[in-house]
Amino acid sequence: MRPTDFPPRAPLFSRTDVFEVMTISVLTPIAWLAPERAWLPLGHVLSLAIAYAWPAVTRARVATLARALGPRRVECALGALRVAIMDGYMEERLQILRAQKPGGWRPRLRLLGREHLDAALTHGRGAVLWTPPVSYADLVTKMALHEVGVAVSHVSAFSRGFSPNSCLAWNPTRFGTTVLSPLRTRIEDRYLRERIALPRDGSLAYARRVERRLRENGVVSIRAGEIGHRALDLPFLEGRVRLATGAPSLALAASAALLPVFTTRTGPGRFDVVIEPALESIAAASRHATVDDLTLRYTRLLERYVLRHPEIWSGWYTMQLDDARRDAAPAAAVSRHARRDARAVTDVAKLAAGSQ
Amino acid sequence: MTPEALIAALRAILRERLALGGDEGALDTDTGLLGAGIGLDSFEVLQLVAALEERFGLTIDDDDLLPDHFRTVGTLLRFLEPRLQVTA
Repeated sequence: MRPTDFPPRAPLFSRTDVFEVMTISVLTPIAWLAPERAWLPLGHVLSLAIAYAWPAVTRARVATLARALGPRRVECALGALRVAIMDGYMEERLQILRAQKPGGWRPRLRLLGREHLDAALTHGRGAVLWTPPVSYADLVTKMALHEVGVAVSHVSAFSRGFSPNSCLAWNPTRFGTTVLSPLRTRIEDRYLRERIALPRDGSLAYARRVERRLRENGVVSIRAGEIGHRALDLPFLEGRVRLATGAPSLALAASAALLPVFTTRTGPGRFDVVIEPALESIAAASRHATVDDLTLRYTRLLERYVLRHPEIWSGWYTMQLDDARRDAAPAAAVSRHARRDARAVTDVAKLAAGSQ
Repeated sequence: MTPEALIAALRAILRERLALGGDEGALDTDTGLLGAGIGLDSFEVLQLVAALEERFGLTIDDDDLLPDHFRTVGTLLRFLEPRLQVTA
């Protein structure tokens, strides 16, 4: 376990900000003027142009994908996957930019697994939705829940800049926090009951507010990510991924249900948001072992989703690819439960058939 | 109350309320709490705070929930001392 410290006072500006401003300048006219069905093809042209303009970067990215996947197979060639990942980044930015326009962005959303949330709330102790670090999820998940009347309190880091899934390292700047980040968060906030931001000084008072929401039988969402006071490096594909333990720890502290949520793109402007069955905590030797087991099981679910929809995962280029392999899994790994959860990953097609 | 008594109370809270503590014999003022050492996260610190409030009849305000107070057993003791009249 390696704790993730909160960043010191952020710099004013960074190269990432320049890149983001350039991206926004290029994409805003497309987002506002082009019909949505043209977004992906136009984004694809830009992605291809970037891929061909920087061949060394493209080769390195493809090599990273190959190392991360190891012997596993995905449906497309790795070069095409590299471009498809960029397409996803591009399209998500276009969605956020279109949402700024009067009339907004109106995707067709389908929420699957609502019954899991309803069942959790019957216990009166609230629910923690653990949302995925994938393209589209940040805005689409909030919209889908809002559309069916679920009031969500979202816990978030104080800034992630404009691009929620940038492949660039998380590196907040004051410009990013005050100018770029609100471009995204003010859109997301339309669909939330409230945003509970982790304060810059690391104060823990926000945690009381979050717990209070759960005691009121509220719904709290937390995006799976590495920012938190306690984080684990967990086996993932052929490397490791770092996940903060805040979501399972909160659920355990409040005796609330912990529900993984995944989001997939099913077509232009069409998305499925899937609420999985609650991850049940096991009786372990210590609280940390229980939290670690829940985190590991979430990682197993995420891995299955990533293999089905590799083009939307935002962590390909930031995951750790070293000699650490799954045979060095933490002692907290309770494989029996992890295997059961892996089998229980919702088959979207089955769920959809059942909901029609 | 002495620092030793406070550490004993802290040890009991970590064991009974949080099922944490690891090698409890090694709990001393240098033992990390938040993030390192025992490795508490925000919500575990909140449980620790609730247990301290209950045990000692304290009220810890939101403004006092700063990470520096919970870095180590020592920093927590220094935070609690004026509130509990700890004597060396």
